[in-house]
Amino acid sequence: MANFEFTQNLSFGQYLPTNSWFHQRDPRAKILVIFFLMMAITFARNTYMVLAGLLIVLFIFLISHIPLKNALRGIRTPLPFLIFIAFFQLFRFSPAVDNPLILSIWSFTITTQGLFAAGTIILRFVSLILTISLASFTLSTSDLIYGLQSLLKPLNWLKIPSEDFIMVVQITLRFLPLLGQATEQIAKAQAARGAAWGVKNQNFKQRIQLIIPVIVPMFLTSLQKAETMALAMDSRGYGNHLTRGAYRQLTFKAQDGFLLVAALIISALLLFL
Amino acid sequence: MALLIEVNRVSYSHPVPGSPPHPALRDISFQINQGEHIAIVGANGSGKTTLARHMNALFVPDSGTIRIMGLDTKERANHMKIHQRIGMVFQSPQEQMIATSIEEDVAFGPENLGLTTLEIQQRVRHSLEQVGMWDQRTRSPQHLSAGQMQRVALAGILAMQPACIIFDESTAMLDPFGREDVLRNIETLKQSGITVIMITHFMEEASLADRIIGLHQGRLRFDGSPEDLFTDDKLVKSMNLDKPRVLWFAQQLTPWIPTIKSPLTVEQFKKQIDPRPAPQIFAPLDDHHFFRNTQENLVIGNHLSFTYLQNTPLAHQALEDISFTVREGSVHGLIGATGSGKSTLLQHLNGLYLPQTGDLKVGPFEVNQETDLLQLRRYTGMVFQNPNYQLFEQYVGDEIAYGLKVLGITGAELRERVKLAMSQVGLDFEEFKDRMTFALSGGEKRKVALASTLVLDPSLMLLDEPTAGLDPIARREILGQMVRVHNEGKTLVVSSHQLEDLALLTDHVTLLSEGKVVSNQDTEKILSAHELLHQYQMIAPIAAQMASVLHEKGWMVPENIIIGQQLVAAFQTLGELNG
Repeated sequence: MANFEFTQNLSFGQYLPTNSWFHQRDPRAKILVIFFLMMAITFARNTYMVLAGLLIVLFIFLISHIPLKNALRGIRTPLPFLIFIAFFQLFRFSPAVDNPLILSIWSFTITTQGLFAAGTIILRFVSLILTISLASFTLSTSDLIYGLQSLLKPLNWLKIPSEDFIMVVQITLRFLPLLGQATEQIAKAQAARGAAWGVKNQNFKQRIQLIIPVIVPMFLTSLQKAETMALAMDSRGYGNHLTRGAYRQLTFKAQDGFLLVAALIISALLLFL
Repeated sequence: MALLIEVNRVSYSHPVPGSPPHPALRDISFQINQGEHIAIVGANGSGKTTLARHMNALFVPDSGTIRIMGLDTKERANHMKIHQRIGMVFQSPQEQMIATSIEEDVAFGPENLGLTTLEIQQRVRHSLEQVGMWDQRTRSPQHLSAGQMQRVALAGILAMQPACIIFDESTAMLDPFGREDVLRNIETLKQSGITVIMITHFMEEASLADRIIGLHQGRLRFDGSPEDLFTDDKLVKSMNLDKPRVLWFAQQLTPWIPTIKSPLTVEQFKKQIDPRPAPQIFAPLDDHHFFRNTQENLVIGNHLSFTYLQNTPLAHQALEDISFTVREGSVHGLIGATGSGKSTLLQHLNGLYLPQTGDLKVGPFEVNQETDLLQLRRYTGMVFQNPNYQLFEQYVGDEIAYGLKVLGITGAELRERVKLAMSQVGLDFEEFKDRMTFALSGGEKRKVALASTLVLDPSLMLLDEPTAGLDPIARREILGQMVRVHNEGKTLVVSSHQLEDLALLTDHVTLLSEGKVVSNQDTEKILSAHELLHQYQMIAPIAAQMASVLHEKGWMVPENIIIGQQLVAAFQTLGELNG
């Protein structure tokens, strides 16, 4: 870690405004499409359907004009972890008549089914990660907030304060870069006084030892920031009025409905075929 | 004039867990009328911010009452109306941004008022246009400069259509242009009839107000006009304040120019001087800097470039082809508007960032991928801009000892070296070693940060905005410590928006703009080059501004004057000639 740009590793705020047809859809429709796809990919039983899900996600990448290079960057980091999980799937099944043995080492056996399961799990996770990055590329934070706000409004009938929940989401999104900056500053301050930040040839333990002293001051400064932010919110009248107004008003068009219905049908097919 | 704010015998104590509450305001009473422009002044910790937060009902007094347009702040039901009428712009631009885009942040207040979408949109547009940020409305706050963030914060308040706006040290973190910008906006607000209350450490800003409220240790010590406050030397001193520098210097010039009558701003100074019928010629300035430094270069940078977030969509070039040198034993200044690359450059000098192109030599080190960074960082100490990020231990003693402990120094030697470092910055070892770092005042925090770097005995010290946000007295103390450190033989590189400070400290200054070196000259040459400074969004030190006013009026003082003493000394060479 030769530099201190922690914000670089945060995958938030990657919104790519290409102004494509998909980008222009109503945020609520976009949120639901992504939600349906995620559900379908997560629970699809059939490997081919997971593959189909992946192709559909890639198709949306295509129509949103998002370079696939950007999408693939998100997979690189979790890939070793995925391979690790998939590795165990290889040995999950014992050989049977309909499950021929491929390779056996001592008492471990790799079977066709195991190979299939390992492939499925990698496929499933890669598709899910791509769907999530699709969300971050096509939903601006404002889309997300106003979309969720509108979608969760029915919860108010159940006396669940959905607006407060949305505010929590909004503040969290706002806070993440602040947190990244604070961490960067503290790490730099410690490095400047002799902590081995940015020094090469360190083992894993030495790296962990560097991180721990950063955490406590990071929480302290974050709490201070949170306090200031709370004051700023208070002084601008948050929480005093029964009904909040909204800066953006969403309009659901026929095209949005078309997209939503298409996504619903495709997801159902993925799930039940 | 209608009565706006009525503060009646207010006292307030901050609750402190596990110990008696800390009294912050004691028996304060005053009234503010609609349309007034008021400055609240006082040393760090005198209760200014606490008072301001009472005036928009963020805090409620322990005893006494505050009425805003007749509404008692103790009644929770009144808070909405009070928040709408009294807006507040905070010191730190970052934390008052709530939403993730500018327009939505400005919309936050009106949304809370429960207005219709159309009304909110109109208000957002109107107030963003007023501060000149409408064309940037979809950007995210974290990508703005501090000055721009303060403008957005102001727009967020304006959108609520308030009767009064409180600026709580809103200019402390800004560069000179950002500050002028806020002051210009305040001027516009005044004209549109909005009451302005500003808390400030800059006495020059305070003198712009119609009326000053002075606090000292939680008590109201002064309530009157700026002239009355600043011409009362005893009172100013007892409140741990400073006179505006213009007044300070001008008072010393009265023997030669009797028409001067306590001007508080350069403009007033200008008005009070009559043009001379014939120009008065002065002897050129003696070379005031005694270059103790050798001609050896300690730092040599050649064609340095650096890009943040390289190879990502957010890539941003911070340094472009920078070449500069720092002589051993000198104090070198770095100036430039926010975002010009000063901090990035400083952080290259101790290897926090490594040059992406070009080469950099710091003392015996070549700074590149192969450098032993730990050794380099022991050789170059760095004091950062915001002491809040820099102090990470619970107790002052541990904080200062941190660097030594990392080196494995313990026991008596550790104690002695911590003690020495604390005495170097004027902190008493016994009194401060067990104090909590987060409970220190701004000035004390800076001293601790300075000591925690000095303790490692670096040969080169890097200081990033060492005096930002300090009250005048604390500022003078920190400057004094820096001079002492320099006299002990260390080389200093200081970046600052306060050209006044650099005029006193440095012998060489590099001016940066948008990541490039614009100029690299002797301090007195560059700081008296008004047009150059103006072009790159800086403002010359007061003494230089006064010198140029005197020039216009036929007092041909040397053109390279940058500090007040030089100005006075120049007049002293006239002796009795004029008298």
